[in-house]
Amino acid sequence: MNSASDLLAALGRYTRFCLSATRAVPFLNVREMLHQAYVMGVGSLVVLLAVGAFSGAMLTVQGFASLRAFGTSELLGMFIALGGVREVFPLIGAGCVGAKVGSAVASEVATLKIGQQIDALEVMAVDPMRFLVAPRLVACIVVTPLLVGACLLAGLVSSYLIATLQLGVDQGVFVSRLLENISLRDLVSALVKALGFGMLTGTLACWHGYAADAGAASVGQASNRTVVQAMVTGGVLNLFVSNVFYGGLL
Amino acid sequence: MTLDAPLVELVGVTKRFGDQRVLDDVSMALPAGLTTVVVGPSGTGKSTLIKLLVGLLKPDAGRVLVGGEDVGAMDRAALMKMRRRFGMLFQDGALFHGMSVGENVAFPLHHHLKLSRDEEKSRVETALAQVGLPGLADRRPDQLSGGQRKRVGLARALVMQPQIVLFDEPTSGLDPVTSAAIDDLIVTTRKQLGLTFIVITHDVQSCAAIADRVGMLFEGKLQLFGPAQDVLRSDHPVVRQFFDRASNGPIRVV
Amino acid sequence: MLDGLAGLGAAVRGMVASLGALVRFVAGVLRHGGLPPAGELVHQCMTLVRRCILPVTLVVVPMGALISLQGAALIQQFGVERLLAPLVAITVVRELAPGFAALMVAMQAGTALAAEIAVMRVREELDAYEVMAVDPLRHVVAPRLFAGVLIAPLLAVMAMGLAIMGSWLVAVGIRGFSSRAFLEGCLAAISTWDLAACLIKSAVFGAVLSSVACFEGYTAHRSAEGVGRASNRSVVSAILSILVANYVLNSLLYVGVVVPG
Repeated sequence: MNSASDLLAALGRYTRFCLSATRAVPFLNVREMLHQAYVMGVGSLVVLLAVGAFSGAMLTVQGFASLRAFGTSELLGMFIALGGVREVFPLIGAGCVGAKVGSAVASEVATLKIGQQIDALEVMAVDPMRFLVAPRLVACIVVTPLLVGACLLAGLVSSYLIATLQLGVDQGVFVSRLLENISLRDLVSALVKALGFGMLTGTLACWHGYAADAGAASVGQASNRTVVQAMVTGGVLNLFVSNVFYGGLL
Repeated sequence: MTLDAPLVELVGVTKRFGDQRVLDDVSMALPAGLTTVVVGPSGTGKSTLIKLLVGLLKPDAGRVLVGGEDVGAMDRAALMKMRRRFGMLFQDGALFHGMSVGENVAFPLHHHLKLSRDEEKSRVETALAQVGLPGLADRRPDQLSGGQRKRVGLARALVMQPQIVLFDEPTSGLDPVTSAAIDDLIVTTRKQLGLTFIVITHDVQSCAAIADRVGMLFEGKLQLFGPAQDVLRSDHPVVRQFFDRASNGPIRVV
Repeated sequence: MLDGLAGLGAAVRGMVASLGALVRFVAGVLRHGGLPPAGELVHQCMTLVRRCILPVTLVVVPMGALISLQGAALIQQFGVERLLAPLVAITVVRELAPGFAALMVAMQAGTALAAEIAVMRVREELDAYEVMAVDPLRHVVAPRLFAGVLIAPLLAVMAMGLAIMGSWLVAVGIRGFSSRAFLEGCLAAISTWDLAACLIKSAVFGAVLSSVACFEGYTAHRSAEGVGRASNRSVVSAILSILVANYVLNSLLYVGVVVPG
């Protein structure tokens, strides 16, 4: 994309694609959607748990080191609540789902496109939007919050273990500081972020996959563009949602 | 070395993929200075054969001899040295998409010889002219047609003046006229340069047009091997069915 | 339930096997390839920079803004405004810059790199290199591998500046902190050790993700699906590896040694 007009044209195409997909949603193939949701969820669960666990671990270690410098290491629980639950876990979790599910769906749809299987569906009078795109889109939107939730839980458990076992922080103090700083607002914000990411990932993946034109190279391209664009727009989305829930920007 | 002495030889070569024997105790002596064509139904190990010759694969049993040396026993350095005797035309040309046609053809020159820019350019132009594509040095591979890509691939294979040139299905995906042009190119080039050509194909007409020797592979075994006229006219049921393009016979369509 | 556990066991064994294969691959590249040719290395470095500069910027600036946003709310609650700048600086240099720059590089370059090499595999270009007696490990893989190690720290430094700028915009432009106090506070809080750690971290991340991408591309299956799979696996493996490495490095660099019990 070289110019502003290219960007606007692409945005137009993207919007039109999203509208067609949305129109197909009420008629979507439910079995296909459930199958996709299962594949996405089960396929990504282990990875998201691992991502959550290691994000929690790295955050806890870093938080401990930084707080120790200020002499306030008993605030670690609060640090995890404010840093982890509010920002790091939802963002890394949603970003990871975006990367994994996004690249998988994009390359899958692209492979179908270049193999002329989407044309074949049309010729057999089966609407690819209803059969292919809408099920994947809805599955993505439904599954992302669940996976982000799993990531969050894994992160908290891992934080607790690292703090108490590796860093020797007092269990009671950690847990009480953690819990007193998590509010419903934080969980709703995480949910909204996850849903937003899910929508972005699903639409971008299907759109780029659909746009694949020739050969194996376009499969890689579809996957690449989806992942990068999802992360970038997701990052901006993250900022706005945080602003809405916590204020401070506008 | 007499004209008919084998330059490339397979001795009792077996190659398995999983539990499928793609090549089963195959022995073949491919003579120098002639075009040998190996034919057979799809998936019978023709590509495997070519890869064994250049050491991209190692045989499970038997030996692959090039100029008397065992390819399978070579270490990486010796293998790289041995490959300098070969040029290979891959199925879709295998041109490097990040480079222009000229850069593609110059590639082996660039890496193995220390030529001046002008010398390199002139050798590239000669190679391209030889395959009937003069002046296309600045084009990019994705701007070329299938037939042109193959010809550029051939130019690249010839530019280092190898002794042996391998062809992996040179006419696949081409229309009859372009196929005939490639066949003509193969015949003329070999006569002009006096090289050894080894071709694998399932294009029956192409085989008839270019071959001096023909070998037929089926179910991993070499069914027949000999001078082209003999093989093409043979009564061997597998050979007959293949060359007559008949759907009935020992070759089953699964 | 038992199926799930068996599946998990298989998955773990699979991961360990892949890790082994990855290590052998990198060792092979370094042994056979040695140092890549300078021209190709420079070209790959430039390509990597070109690909990543925009995504990194677009991700890191909002992150910086976010730190100020969350940090400012927290600090105003405790009434210690002067801690905002150091908080920003430390978070950016220690985690955000190396981590998120690397993550973006992983996503952008990782997928593109894996796909690029996988496509070369499909088109038989890698075989063509071998047959022409030019080692593809040296000429195709090594330049890309080394480019990752060299460019990731560069991008991390760039990310540092951009993130601080994002923070500055919120803290100074919107929350009314004093610009001079903010910037001075940031600079004062960054020690040389922090900077060194940032560079070490990002170099390690760069090495990991370019190794993973090259490995997946090089061993990809020869088909369009193979290209897609190489791309996907490289993104996921890269993200996970970076998080694991981040945890280990944090323990080593900031806390001392991983302390059991």
